[in-house]
Amino acid sequence: MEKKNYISPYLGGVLLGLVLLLSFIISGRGLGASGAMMKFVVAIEKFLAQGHVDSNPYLAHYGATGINPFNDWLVFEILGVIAGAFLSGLIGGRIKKETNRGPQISDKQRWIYAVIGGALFGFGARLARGCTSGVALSGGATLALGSWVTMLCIFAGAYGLAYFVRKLWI
Amino acid sequence: MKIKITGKLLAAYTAMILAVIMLFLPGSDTRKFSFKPEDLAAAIASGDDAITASTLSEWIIQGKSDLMIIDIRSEEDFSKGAIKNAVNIPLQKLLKKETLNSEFNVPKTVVLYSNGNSHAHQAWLVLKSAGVDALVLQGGYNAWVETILNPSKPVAMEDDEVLKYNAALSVAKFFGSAGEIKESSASENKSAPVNKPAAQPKKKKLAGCG
Amino acid sequence: MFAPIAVLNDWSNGINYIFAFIIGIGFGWVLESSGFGNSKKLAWQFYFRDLTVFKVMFTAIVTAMTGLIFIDAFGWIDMSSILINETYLWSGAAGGLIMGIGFAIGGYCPGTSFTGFATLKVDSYFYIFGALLGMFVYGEVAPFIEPFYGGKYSGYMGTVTLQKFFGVSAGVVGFVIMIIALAGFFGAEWIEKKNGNIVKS
Repeated sequence: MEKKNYISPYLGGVLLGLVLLLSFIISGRGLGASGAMMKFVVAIEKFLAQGHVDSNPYLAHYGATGINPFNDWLVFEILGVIAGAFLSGLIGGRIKKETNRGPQISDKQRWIYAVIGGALFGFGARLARGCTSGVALSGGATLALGSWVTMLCIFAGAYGLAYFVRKLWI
Repeated sequence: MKIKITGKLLAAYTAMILAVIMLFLPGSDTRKFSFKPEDLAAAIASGDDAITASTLSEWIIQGKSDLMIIDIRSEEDFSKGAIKNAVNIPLQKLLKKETLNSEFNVPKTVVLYSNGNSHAHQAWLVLKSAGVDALVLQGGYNAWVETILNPSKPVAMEDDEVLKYNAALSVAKFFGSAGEIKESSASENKSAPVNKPAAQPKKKKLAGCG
Repeated sequence: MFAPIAVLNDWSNGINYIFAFIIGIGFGWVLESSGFGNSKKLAWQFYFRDLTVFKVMFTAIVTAMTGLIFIDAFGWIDMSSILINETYLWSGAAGGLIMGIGFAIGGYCPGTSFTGFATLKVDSYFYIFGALLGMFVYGEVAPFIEPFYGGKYSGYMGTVTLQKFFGVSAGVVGFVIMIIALAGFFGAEWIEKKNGNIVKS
């Protein structure tokens, strides 16, 4: 499949906005992503140490004995995200095993930073009760005060640190 | 002068038009008002709709968090004497949408009281239908004065009765009363106490409108 | 009033999850088509080379927001049944800052990392692993920071929308945000013209 360019960002934005709107109209809730990851973490912990999950009130909420963490809207949504992204990539000829990074670092270095960045983001996402999808997009569209605050902080944190990690990307 | 109409510019103009229209659109209440007669009847039948004065006094002394005591009487009545920590929201004001939308965003345990019972129960119906966890003070302010501020001295002065009475007296003092003996059997004749109004309650600042 | 459809028709979990999957397909499709599976493209936001993320995100927010305001005004949707995120000022702000730092270093956010995952971007595998790790750590730490997360120091304000906070109608807020977004888009176009280096595919 010949590799095609990405679509115009404004078109993408309108389409994404329509998907988001549809989500509210159909299910009464917006999109999300980090919640599904948390469910997955708890599921693993349940398998390895159910007692630990039960004794930790934060984890117990997601996966105490009798609660199936995968019995959740977000989990199915994320499966759809993977499927949709795959299909789009297939049609656009963009399915390619590669590592995106700046020219000054190697693939392996990028991988290490990906883990570090991911860990920080994962931690922050739980603290803020959501990631860019759930907080910025969905909370933003519903004009939730806390969501706008969090969204601004995400941008502030990222732009603020960008200069110091520019070696990774440019 | 030729003006090039690009797709982006067209979209921007559409967006601006939509924005201006939005400016004049009415918004709806996000607070859910639901009238569920069965739930309300069940709460009333089981007595979950009310608490006694002694329970309330315990909650206040223990510093129960999320507790909001609302005095729904007039401002005049409120200034003459009210329950410690109570907020005065006269009934008319309480039943207004602005109040309902602004005062109860954070989940709280709300205790309503009037002088007796009836007005508080009316307010209870409305608050419950608006999704607020509300309770009525059984017997209202009248009961509060009788049982908490003026604990009755026991007729027979047995030890445990005396202890209970003294405890009740200190509770009464906590709530701003000098205590009054209802049944005096002993020779002491305390002068008739004045019902001191409760310590100035914090006037809750209604968060900006809406 | 027909929306939200699942709530008003009391859908079972099964139907809800099917639609969750379908909505997810739409989500993932648009993300990938816009290039959000590419961490370099995402990270170049922060160097003002490629402002796609800003354009897509704000167009999406404004589109959905406008849609909600309009259908609410038409009386087609029951807004009180819509899940609106609660406001926890301090934990939300702190979490946001940490997320921003993680984004700058890791180049992804969870939604986009799954998009990259679906198109075989190897760095997304490591990001996802890291995110799971970070969430695991959070779970262990959570009981100790409860007062900050959801207790006294969380800045909890209940469900507060911008319109409620400023005491105006939702439409007014929508108007202001739309104007800000349009200004932002013009600014973004200008920046990209001067400094841009857009990742095209």
